[in-house]
Amino acid sequence: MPVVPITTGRACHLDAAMVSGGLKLLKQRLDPASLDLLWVENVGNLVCPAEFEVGEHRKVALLSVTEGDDKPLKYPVMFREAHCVLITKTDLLPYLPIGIAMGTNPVICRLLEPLMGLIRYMPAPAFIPLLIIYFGLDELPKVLLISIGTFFFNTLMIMDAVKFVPRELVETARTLGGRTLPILTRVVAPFIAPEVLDTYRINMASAWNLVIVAELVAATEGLGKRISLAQRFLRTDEIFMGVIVIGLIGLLIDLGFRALMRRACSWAN
Amino acid sequence: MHLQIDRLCKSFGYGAARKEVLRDVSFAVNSGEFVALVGSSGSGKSTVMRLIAGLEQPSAGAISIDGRPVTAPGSDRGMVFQKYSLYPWLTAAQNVAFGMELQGRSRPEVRERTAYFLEVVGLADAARHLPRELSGGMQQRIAIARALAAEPQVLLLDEPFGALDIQIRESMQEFLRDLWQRTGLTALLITHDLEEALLLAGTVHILAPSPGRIVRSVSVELDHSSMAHLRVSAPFLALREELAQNLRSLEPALPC
Repeated sequence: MPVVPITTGRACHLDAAMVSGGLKLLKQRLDPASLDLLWVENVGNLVCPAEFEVGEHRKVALLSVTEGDDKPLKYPVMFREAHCVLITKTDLLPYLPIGIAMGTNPVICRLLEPLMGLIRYMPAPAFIPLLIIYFGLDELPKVLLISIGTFFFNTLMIMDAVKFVPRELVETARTLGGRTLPILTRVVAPFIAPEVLDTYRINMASAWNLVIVAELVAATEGLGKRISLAQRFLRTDEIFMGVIVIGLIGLLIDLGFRALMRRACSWAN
Repeated sequence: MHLQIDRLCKSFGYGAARKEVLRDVSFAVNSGEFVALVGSSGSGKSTVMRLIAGLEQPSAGAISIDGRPVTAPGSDRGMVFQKYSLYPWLTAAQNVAFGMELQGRSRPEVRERTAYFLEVVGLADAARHLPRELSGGMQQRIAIARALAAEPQVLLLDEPFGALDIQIRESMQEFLRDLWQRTGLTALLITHDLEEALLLAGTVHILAPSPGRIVRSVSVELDHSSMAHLRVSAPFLALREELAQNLRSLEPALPC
């Protein structure tokens, strides 16, 4: 693919005359009639390229997730002019806390919420056969099963918690000179902490259920395994005992979370 | 310090849903002045404040401090909101220290200034209390202390006493007037309460609604030495009545 570099000199962006000069250079190297598609890669900030036509038919804007969520608000013209916005570096998304990212960033939220909603309704136990086929009977498939069963619930609930952070709290920090990262760590994170702990507490119940489900079908030991063995020998008393022990352990975990919440988030009580 | 607001316009939405909120609002605030904007709801007065704070961008017009254009929020403009503005997980002292910590001031300096500003607003005893343990008036005094501690050039007060009941409101008005006299701060107050504006400010701008625009500017030349006395003095009441009629005439007539 032939490429022609254009220097913009002291300007911060391309204009039509520069592109026309580039086209002349390109014509020396190939027949213009053979062109199917001509890409013009414009440079610079998000201001000038939006307002200078360079003879294009379609405009594509590239936005990387690490640039932050406020770009469409700060540079509305660019995002209005673009026919397509490509969000790049999305591979970095898992390294941002996704729920916080979705709660604060409408673009990420709109991209991920339908997908998360879909996966959330897939019953996690249905993944057990696949997990056994791929990962055997070790601990890994159980960890993955619990992740599948709780990650999306947790993420969506944390996203909702972030959406309910009062606007005034964030704006106060901004008028005191706070920037995005300190606002996330010092305003958003402490405000949602009680909700996050509560979300974990609620979803712990399904995580705990999934441990037992995994042990019922794919384990060599554990409470679930004991129950399925007892079933084989019709020892209903052992089954009852197993269920009660499972319930008690769940209750202890729940109480632990409540105690943690009382201590860590006393302001919210 | 010279805060200049020049032909400020603001619209929200596009196309048919476009709503003009402010039209050609211009005024200035100089060091040590106390200026008030008075208007009914829908007059865009809060929008003026949010534009000056840098929380919104104007559709047209300019805002500058000492010639430097305002484009984003910054600690040169401290803001006090009507409600919900204290961080509920921080004590009163930690709330006051919050802005200074964001600015990266040293620990001893933060500690010293926190103690000083708690003293200034008369709440040194409440330093270790959480916001929910404080009354509404005390909470707003902490919010004012927090804004002042960050050393703003101008203090923006957006209906700061709007959520308080009437007795507390009156004592807070005296507190603010007194604070202004003691510290020489520069303040811009947004309120729908004409009496509050006349009691506190040296200059009062009246905003008409839909779209918000300044229809009258008054410089208040009254004897402010005693607020309790001022509230019932004849010149004060006469000025208040005159401006109140002015405000009423701006309201669209209620449909019969």
